[in-house]
Amino acid sequence: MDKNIDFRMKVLVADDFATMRKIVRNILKQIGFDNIVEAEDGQAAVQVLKNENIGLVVTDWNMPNMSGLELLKKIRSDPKTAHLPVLMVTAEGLKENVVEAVKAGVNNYVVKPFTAEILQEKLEQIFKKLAG
Amino acid sequence: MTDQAPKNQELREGLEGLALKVVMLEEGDLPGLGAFLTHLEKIQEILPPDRSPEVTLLFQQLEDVGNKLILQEISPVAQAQELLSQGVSLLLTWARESAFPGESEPWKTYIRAAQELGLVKSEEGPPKTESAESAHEPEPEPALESQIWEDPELVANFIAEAREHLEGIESGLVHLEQAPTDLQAINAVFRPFHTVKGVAGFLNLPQIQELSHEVESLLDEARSGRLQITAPVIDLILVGVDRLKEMLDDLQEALSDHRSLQKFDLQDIKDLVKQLQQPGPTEEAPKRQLGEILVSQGEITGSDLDQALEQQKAQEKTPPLGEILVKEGKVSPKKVARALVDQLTEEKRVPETAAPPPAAEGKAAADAQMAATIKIDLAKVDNLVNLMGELVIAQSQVRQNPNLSAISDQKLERDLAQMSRITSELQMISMSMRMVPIGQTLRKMVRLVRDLSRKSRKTVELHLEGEDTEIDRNMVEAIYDPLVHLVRNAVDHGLESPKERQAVGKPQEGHVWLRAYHKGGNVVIDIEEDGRGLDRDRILAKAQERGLIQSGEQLTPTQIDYLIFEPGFSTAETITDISGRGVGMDVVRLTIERLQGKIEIHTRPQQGTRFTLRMPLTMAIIDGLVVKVGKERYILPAVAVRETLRPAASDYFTVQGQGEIIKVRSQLIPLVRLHRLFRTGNGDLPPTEALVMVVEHEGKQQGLLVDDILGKQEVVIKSLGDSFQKIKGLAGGTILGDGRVGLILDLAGIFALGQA
Repeated sequence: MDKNIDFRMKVLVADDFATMRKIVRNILKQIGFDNIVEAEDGQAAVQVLKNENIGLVVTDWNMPNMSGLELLKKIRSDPKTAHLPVLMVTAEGLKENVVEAVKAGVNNYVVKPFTAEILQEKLEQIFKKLAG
Repeated sequence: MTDQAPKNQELREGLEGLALKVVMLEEGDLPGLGAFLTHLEKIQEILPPDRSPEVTLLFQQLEDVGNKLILQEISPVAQAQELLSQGVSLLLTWARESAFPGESEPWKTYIRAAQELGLVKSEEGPPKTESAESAHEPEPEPALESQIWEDPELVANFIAEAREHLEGIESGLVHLEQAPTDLQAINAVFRPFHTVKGVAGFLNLPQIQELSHEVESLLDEARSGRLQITAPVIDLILVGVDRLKEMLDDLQEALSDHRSLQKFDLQDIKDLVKQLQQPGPTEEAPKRQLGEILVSQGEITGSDLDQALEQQKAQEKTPPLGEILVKEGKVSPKKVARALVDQLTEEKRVPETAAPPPAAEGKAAADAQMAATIKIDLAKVDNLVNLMGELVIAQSQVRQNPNLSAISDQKLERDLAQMSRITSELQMISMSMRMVPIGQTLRKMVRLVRDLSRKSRKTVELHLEGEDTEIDRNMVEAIYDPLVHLVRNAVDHGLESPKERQAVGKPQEGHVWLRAYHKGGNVVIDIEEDGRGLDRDRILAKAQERGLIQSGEQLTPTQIDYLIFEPGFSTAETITDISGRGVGMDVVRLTIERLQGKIEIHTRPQQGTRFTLRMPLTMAIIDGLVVKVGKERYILPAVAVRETLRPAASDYFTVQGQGEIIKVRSQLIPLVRLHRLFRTGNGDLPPTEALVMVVEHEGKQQGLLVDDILGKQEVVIKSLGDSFQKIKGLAGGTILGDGRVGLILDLAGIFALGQA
């Protein structure tokens, strides 16, 4: 387990597909997170960010109403959330999206389907960098 | 030179900043790479137009390496980052000295490193690109097989959610057919396949994953403008939806029976997808090799190239071709760099023309949006609603308890009032939990209409209204079949063929409207078309032929219309493939009546027909009028009661052979004595002293004779149990406020009894 990750933090999972949210939630739990909230699109996520103290955002790329990229840009443009770590969940075959997200300031991305090990590795990378 | 100075200064500062970003870069540092790339883009905007080709090449390669590092398509990573640093430092030298160090050692080192990383193809060079290409291949599937049986609930959730999304696709497609270039519409159809594929990957459902991938890839082409949405494309997507539904059905069965999954053949779909994906500009043109370019530019001759290639082969370390040519003095380094730029821009051009426009995210997709929800077993909600009904009754029993009413205590009264407020609110909330928007059911008709219109070669436009209208979840399934039947009839029988329409001066395109709304405590659904209208002469002829009516029987137009609901009636001359089988209109009527609802017809020749279904908001509770008949109490559905009156003696007649009749505003209405119907003893009052409830059913009216009206109240319908199920005239029972049982009248049955 990585010392840089505080597992007590609240994680926001944004995805329009409830089953997907549950899968991500399960995997996050497997890694050690216990405090997880969900949002069904970017707009809902923004609302959650306003009301709750979120430590990490795991968002899907393709969502109605407000896409993951728009959500990311919104997070980065608000000084209150600008430094919030964001992990993008994407599908293989949509590489141009990844580059776009990285340019917009995503901390890391993970390609579906992924295992707990892969997600943990990505999160460790993120938090190690933030701690360093 | 002087006016260039400030710009140069800006450029230098920019490049210094870039160098700093490279130095700070750590392995796997995506934010760092992102910052590097955005910075790089900014500098490119202020590049002098007269820069040397090497500079252009460098910028393109830096961007390329940055992208590849993000996508993990380049390795070793350390070497790639080193290349970035070399490239930036070359650019810095260029900016400081205002000349590109084309002949220098760092430049040669850079080119060699770039070739080693596979950024520049060297003839016969070591196939370093392999590592980059292998990253394109799908990653080996993680071993997650156990998850499917480990978490059946998750799979069940997936099945339900995937089905929901597939239905969204069907209605999305119809929109797409009308606006084939609407990116938002394409994306709204693309997204469900995309998501289903993603989740299927997690749940280790390779067949579902593969199928959704096929359709998704086709739609992705459409998203990026490489494929036009045509009818065959939509057909294929629908085939994909159907196959996916079959797979979900199979998965559900497999899940409940603990069996393994069926094998589905996807070859037909794959072939079709391939066929539709035209070999357009998507296929990357093979890159021309460096030597080839130099020859074509006249810089070297063919024999120069052959010689250089020989030499390259002979050497152990296979140096880059450009290096050999420069060493041999055949061509200047500058020319090599220019050729490299050409080579790079050639490969760049391809993805540029095919660059997909940004995926549209927007309001068009909002209809697929879901509210924040939790899923509850419907049986639990049913139970809750039922118990709430009981609570309301128990509560009113307490209130009406004579001993309690004898106590005159203000506090008790207040408390009781408060309790009844809370219970009725609770009841409303618990009932609303079972209400769902009707949209999903209506949208299922979209696909149906599309298929029907194709089969019958009619052009039909379907209009949906009131998709947000809420309806009891238990009713949703019950109204599905009647709706399908009515929509089928509308398209198949109601609407004329385009030719016929044209002949009578109507637009060729027929319209079908499906409207849902709330009115007077009812859910109302209209199914309307602008077709030929009911042919009353034909209905009459048919009804006589079938012996449903006697010849010479006088019927009002409305009564004729309602004949189509008689068992054994069918207006279709020939039984087509589309309708005329299975459920008849009589079953439609029965189903609606079983839901305590009623069906109405409004038709006008050449203008169309509208069927109106009126159902109580929920099946569990009806708005009832409690009437007294002898010692018994009966409940009449309030929706059916037209008026209540006490007839004057002059308005009451006895007709030989037809029974009693009353006159209500010059209309003659048969009278039914509930006393006699239910044999409640001999306390029968004469009509002029009792009350007549005028009720309407299927356009016909009857007067029901009762002793008194005791009040209007919402009653919770209880089944009478199997043994009393078939008693004509009774729809169910309820427990009234005072704890007594009241029987709920079934008007269809009473009308039938009254006629017998």
